Amino acid sequence: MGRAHPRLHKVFDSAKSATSLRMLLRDPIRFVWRYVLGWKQPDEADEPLTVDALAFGNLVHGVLRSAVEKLEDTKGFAAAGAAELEAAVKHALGEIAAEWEGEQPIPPAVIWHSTLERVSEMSLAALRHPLDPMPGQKSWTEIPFGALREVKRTNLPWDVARPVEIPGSGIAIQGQIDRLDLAGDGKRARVIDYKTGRLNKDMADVVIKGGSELQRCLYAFAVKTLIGQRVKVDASLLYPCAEEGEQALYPLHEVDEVLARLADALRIARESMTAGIAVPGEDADQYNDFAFALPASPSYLDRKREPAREQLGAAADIWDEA
Amino acid sequence: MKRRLPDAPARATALTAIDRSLLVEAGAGSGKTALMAGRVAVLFANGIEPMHVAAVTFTEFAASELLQRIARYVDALASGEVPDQIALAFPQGLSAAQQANMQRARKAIDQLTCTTIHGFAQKLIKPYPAEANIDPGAEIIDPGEADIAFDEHYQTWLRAHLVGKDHDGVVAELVVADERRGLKLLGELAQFLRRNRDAKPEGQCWSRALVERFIAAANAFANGLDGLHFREQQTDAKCEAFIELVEALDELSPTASPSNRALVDALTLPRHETLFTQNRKRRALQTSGKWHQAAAAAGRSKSDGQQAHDRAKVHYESAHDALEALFSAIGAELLARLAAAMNELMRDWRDYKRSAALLDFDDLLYTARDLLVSHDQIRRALARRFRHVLVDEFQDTDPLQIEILWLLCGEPCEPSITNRLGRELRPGALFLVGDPKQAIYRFRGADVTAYIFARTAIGESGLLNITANFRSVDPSCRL
Repeated sequence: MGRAHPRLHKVFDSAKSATSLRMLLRDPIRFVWRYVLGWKQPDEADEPLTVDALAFGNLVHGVLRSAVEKLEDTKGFAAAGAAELEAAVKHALGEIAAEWEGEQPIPPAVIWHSTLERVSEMSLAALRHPLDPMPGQKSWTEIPFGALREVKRTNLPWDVARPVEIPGSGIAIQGQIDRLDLAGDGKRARVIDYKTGRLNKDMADVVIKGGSELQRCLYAFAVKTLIGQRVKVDASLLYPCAEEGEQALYPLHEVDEVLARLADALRIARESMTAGIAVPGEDADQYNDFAFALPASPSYLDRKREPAREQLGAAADIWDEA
Repeated sequence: MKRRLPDAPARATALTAIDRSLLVEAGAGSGKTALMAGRVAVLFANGIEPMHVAAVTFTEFAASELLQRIARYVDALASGEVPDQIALAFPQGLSAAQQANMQRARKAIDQLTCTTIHGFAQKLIKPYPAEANIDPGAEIIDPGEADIAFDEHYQTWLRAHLVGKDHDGVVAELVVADERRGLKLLGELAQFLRRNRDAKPEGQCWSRALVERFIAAANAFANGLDGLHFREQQTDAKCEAFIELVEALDELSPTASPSNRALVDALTLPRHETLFTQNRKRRALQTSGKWHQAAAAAGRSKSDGQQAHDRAKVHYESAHDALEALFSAIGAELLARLAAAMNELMRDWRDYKRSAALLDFDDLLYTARDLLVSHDQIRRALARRFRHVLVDEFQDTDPLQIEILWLLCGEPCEPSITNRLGRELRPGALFLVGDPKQAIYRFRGADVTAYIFARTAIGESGLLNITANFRSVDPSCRL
């Protein structure tokens, strides 16, 4: 892609998701293919044998949203007891499952039912995870922000169309916050990002994990921007599947300081990309749908790792951050 | 190559001893292709017609290379020239009769069989479709296409076993217990059964007595500890964990034929960390120091402590032994049930290939083997046709391929011997070239025991070593 190609500017006109920013930071060439040129992996039309990790996550998020909304409609999620949670999840699961079954091919019955069972367990574990209720707490799940499209939801704590721009980078963000708890006085907020995948042992040391763990930081910033700078935000990842005795909640400390570093990194990455430098990055060999577009030599990425890093210069520094 | 190589005698034998079956062990770069091509040329020079010779290589590419080399040698020899690489075979040049043979061979060179083992098997079965029970117009399916077609059949079979809601099918139970690992195991087993048609699971694996033996061992452990005058905490905890397992395995004990679910549940029981290491190996009982302390605390002597420890250790190990035997029987039983469930898949797959008139690479080999085994007349006819078989890269040959070669190139010593490999090779019928070192690094369905078997069967006298390496001879090393 040529230096300062109009498309390289245009891509930043619209708000970016955490996933796309991660790609911008960690695999610039894939960012170009995916977001600048708009290439997409075609959907698998076949009947799936299993529910993949992404779809599983979507199922859990769907159940959580529906369950919490239902509870908020009655006595409130924070006040709900164990039996009410269970009933809400069961009801939500029925709804979501029916919706999926109606809209898309599902795996064979045995796998589908055992998947739904795991979805139910994980959703319950997520909702049951003990978090101190804040006075007058109100909870939301799966709430969008920074969205350009119209969103048909009521009772949201903010205007979903309001832009959220990372200071100094010229990049606006958008996304969906898995769960937001807001204290009655609006002075404290809690942002939770549910992780349905496997829990890594070194998770406690993770801050932004070389630019791949951006949700906590970006969503905390979004909440501050939208609720007001005075609100104190705790942003955490929650692994509902953590074993008993294992740490399940991973808060991000020093949000402001991390955000400043991230804003810097995003600015540098954007400048580097606009200057026409788009090479395979640290994530080039991670679940890469676009691997087919790279030269087919098996040693290609290994050979290019060093020269690519050299080309990226400061734009690659974030890969070394904890 | 005027310079004399240190292994010249071995090379000369490999080239010229056409009345002996040989196994030549030769490393990379030692001129194996020249050796094979040279031996073929010597066969021709001695009046053996190209149609009676088969050279088998590992790849199609190697076959075409070998064929080119043979053609070059034959051309040269037919006009009276001896190529340098095979000078050892014709120290005195060619006699007039040899040259005349060479000229005849040149005209009939297209009757030479030079192909892969699969191509060779196809050549064996093609004239006998009725006896081989194949469609006369059957086509060979490309391995990649075969994989795709098999996968389709596998998926259909798998889905059929996963449609019920809560039945006790072994496939469904396995997948529900652990989706990722269960599906992986099923896929691997299907591929294994597809490739190894002769594989049969062990007959009776499950026995109630194994559960009873484990329960007895665990109880004996507990009773043994109860009978002591002092206790040791760690040993108690281990014993406790065994007793928990006894309770968890409760469902298995009363039944002679446990349900699939009970078996899967038993196999996926969490392995308690006091009994097992992280990679599910038996944890050693290292508590003798602790027992000494426990004895001292109870006012007993150190030797009392040691004695108690020794007795606990015996119980501990025997409980583990019983548990190990039980788990391995459960695993074997499940495997047998899965393999039985897959019979249907394998039958579908065979029927499909049959109705579509397709043969995959494995069909070629199994069909050839079965044809040779069950039709002795045909076997003899084929042996008369292919009198000299030369095989390159023999270290990569699997037991089935070796069986085919032995059936073709050997005669039964005694009718009573049922072992198909217990055959006497006809003199000069088989010429094998292999690099045993490569067999250790690369297992491509081949196994080293097959190679070692062949080596033993050929015998010490038929074994030649070619060691000189042309890729590192003096001139190139001096560079």
